[in-house]
Amino acid sequence: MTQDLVVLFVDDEIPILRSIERAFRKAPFKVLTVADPKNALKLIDTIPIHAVVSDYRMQEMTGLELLRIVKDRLPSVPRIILSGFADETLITEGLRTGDIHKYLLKPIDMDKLQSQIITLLKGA
Amino acid sequence: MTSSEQLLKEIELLKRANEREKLAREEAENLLDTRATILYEINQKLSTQYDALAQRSKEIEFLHSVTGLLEDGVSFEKALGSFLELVCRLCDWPVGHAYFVQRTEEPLVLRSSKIWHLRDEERFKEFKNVTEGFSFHEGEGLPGRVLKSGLLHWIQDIRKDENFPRAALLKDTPVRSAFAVPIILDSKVIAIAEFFAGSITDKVQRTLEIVDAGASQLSSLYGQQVARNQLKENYETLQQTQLQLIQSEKMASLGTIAAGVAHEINNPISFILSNIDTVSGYLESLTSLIDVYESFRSELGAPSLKMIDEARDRYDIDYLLKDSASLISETKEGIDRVRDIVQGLKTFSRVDEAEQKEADINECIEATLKVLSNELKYKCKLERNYGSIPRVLCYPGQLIQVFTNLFLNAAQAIEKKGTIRVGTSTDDKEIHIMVSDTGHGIKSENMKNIFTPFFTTKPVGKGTGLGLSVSYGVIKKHGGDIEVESEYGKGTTFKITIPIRRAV
Repeated sequence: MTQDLVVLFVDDEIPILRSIERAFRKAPFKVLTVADPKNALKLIDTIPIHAVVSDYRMQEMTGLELLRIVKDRLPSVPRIILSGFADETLITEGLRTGDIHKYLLKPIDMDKLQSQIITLLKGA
Repeated sequence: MTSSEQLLKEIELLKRANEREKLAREEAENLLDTRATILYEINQKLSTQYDALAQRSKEIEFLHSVTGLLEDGVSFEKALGSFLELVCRLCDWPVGHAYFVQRTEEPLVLRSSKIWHLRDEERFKEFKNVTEGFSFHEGEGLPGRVLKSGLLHWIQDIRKDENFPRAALLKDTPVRSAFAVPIILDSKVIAIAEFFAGSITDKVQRTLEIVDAGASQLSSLYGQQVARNQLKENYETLQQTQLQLIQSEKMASLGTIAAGVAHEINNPISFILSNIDTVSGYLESLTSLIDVYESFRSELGAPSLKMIDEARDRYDIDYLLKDSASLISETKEGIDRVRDIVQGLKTFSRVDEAEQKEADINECIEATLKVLSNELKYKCKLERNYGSIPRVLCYPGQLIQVFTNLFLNAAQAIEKKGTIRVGTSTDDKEIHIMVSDTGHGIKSENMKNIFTPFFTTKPVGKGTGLGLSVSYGVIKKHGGDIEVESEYGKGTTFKITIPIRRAV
């Protein structure tokens, strides 16, 4: 795996994004972070993205809504919800229909998150 | 005209006058007679009317008194006693007695209520004893006939009555005429009042009608009292239900708040935890770098070494390096504790819905005890009393959490040595679980708060105050109930009921 692989993180809390950038500085993939889901959609149209990890509850749209759009545009890209709180019935439905590949709960051990992402990247 | 002619004429005149006078007197006497007769008749009439009015007044007084019999929560028995007395006074009869219908028995039986009104205890002693020893079925004797018909029954003379079994047992019969009336509730005869005269008495239809009206009045008053009590009871039940509703609503709203709080806290925890790991990594790198510097000490001149060592002392670097590891681990421990609290909050708010499945509650309890054996084994003697209970549809993981809370609380309540008892049983509708300990108990002023989130009597850091509120939420979610009984200084018992549901 090389740094050519790009994982996009979406969360409206900047400190979370900063902590992710720090934790994955040496990860075998490149980390991109955006606080606004709309910018995330602009990004996936402009540069190659290989996985998207999104928070659930955000201002503009929910992570599930965002990842559904991502699915339409990049069906093979792994999609993960990383949240401290989510509507579990909707999430379960999202997992069932394949809108998302994984649902992870905050707080999560960053090593664990990294290995989960890597597993999904390898499978993609 | 001669003088004798004159005299004759005068005599004739006097005679005629006398004749007239006699006629007039006779006429007057006749008139007087007629008047006197009329007067007598009027007098007679007045007297009868007076008697009738006096009787009416007695009747009205009777009915009025009956109306007041059940005022201010007077018992039915007491009212019945007063009714007997009122009827005896109205009829001027010496004996009144009442029966109750034994509705629990089949066929219906009438037994003496032992409520009597006797004008002369001694005279009617034998009759009373005989009567109280008797029981009547429908159609038997005086009360049995009233029970059957639901109507007033009159006996002119009990000695001549063919259906008066008591007469056979009486040595002498101090009572002769009799009648009985029913007291009816919801179209069912519930009691019968019987009355006896000491001699054969004429049947006065009107008085009987009044007594019958009085009995109906008493019946309807009793009906109202029963309805009122029922209403009161319903009201109290309603009030209780409302309290429970408020309680569960309070819990539900706390749950919603808890869920929101959990979310808000999880985000910062998330980056704090991650950042601490990062800081830890940074520190390790810096330490390694310092080690590299140290390895080059021999190549440095004395002035440089002196400056380096001075700086090392000034910044307390030796201590910093030694302490930073525990600084990081203690901080992480703090965050872990916050995370555990949030986890508890989430369970309380039912955010984490696991799958429902059929499970054996005895097995759940055993699994819990296994996990906790280390915590319990040194100071608690365990007594298990598992009943044979069916598997039920439940959230086993959450029930285990409840049992964990109860066992840990029990163990904490025991200071040195004590006993924890756990038992299960079933009544085919519900499963009953009991966990009791011989610990220090709960102070009565704390009892009302023990299921309230964040309420704890444990020292800071020892308890979150969430254990029992979470347990409460879990049991309520199962449609069950959790109750606590405790005696301060003696111990505490938790009783849980869970309705038996099976997977469909």
